[in-house]
Amino acid sequence: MRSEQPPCVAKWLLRHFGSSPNNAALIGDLDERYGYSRSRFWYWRQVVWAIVASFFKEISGHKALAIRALIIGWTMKAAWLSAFWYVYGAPPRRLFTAGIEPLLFVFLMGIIAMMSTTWIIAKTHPVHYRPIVLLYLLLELIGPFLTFISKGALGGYDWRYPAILQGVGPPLFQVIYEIQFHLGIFNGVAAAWESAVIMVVSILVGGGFLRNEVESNSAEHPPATA
Amino acid sequence: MTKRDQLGNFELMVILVLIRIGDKAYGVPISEELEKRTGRDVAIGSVYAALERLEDKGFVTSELGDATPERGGRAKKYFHVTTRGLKEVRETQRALVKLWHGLPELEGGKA
Repeated sequence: MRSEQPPCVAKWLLRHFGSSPNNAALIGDLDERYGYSRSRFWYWRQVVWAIVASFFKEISGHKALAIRALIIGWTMKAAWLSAFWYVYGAPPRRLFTAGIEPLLFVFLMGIIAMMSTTWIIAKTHPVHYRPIVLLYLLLELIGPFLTFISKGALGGYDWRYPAILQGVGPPLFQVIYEIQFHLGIFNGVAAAWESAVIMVVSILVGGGFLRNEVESNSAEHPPATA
Repeated sequence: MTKRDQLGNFELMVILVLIRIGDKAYGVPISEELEKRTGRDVAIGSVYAALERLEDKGFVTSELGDATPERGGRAKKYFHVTTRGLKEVRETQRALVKLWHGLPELEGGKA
């Protein structure tokens, strides 16, 4: 039996990840059409497409802002990494031999670094922060794969040995792998997943995605009484 | 006229539906009319993306309407075609008719 209410997870996703300046009106339209006997699958499909379409529309319409945001983000990231490496040495040099405490400190600082980077991006692009932070997140997720492949193609990586031993992989992944190593866990796949999830959550929280705010466009009115 | 000011295929369909519906054009009737006329399922997200592009180009204006309970208390956003938008539709129609004219492959509904 079809629920009277639209899927709440889908609606939450659209509220927080929809980049359209008319996001509130769009959600209202979806709710209205869902009320005319539309299926939950239809609602989910509409939500996914609305998020994708609004993201590409906003990025293609504000390319200069997107490039500026990426430059800000990557400059901050490079500054943080330089500071860490200056203090602890660049991977795969082992900080790492010093024990678990400095690793945990670097891990926490890494989270703060990611959150502050996207916080700055969001604050410097208040109107278009959603698509721009999402773009930064996507590139941060894709980046390690491209680095891995390009290093392999250019001979900078020996495919026969684990990447982590050759200093290949995002810094957070390497830190998590080393923390696990100190705890007697030798699982690169788990470290990769953990670092990906932590990175996504840190970037989204820093970018202000998960706060419970009033929808960004002015189409939000108090619920009318029936 | 720059390329950016021209109407895309989907934008043209949306603006024609806006003209057809008139003053009561907001997301729901626009997407329903598009589905009825084209026979295809339409994503409301794509309709809004097209409407926002049309608004950026100055072909469409918008205003907020009433909030209703079935919309979760969210207001409708009504869209209207501007004089500039109407002029652009006419120009596009003229250009398309000229392109269509004299193509035997497209005559008689055989293609």
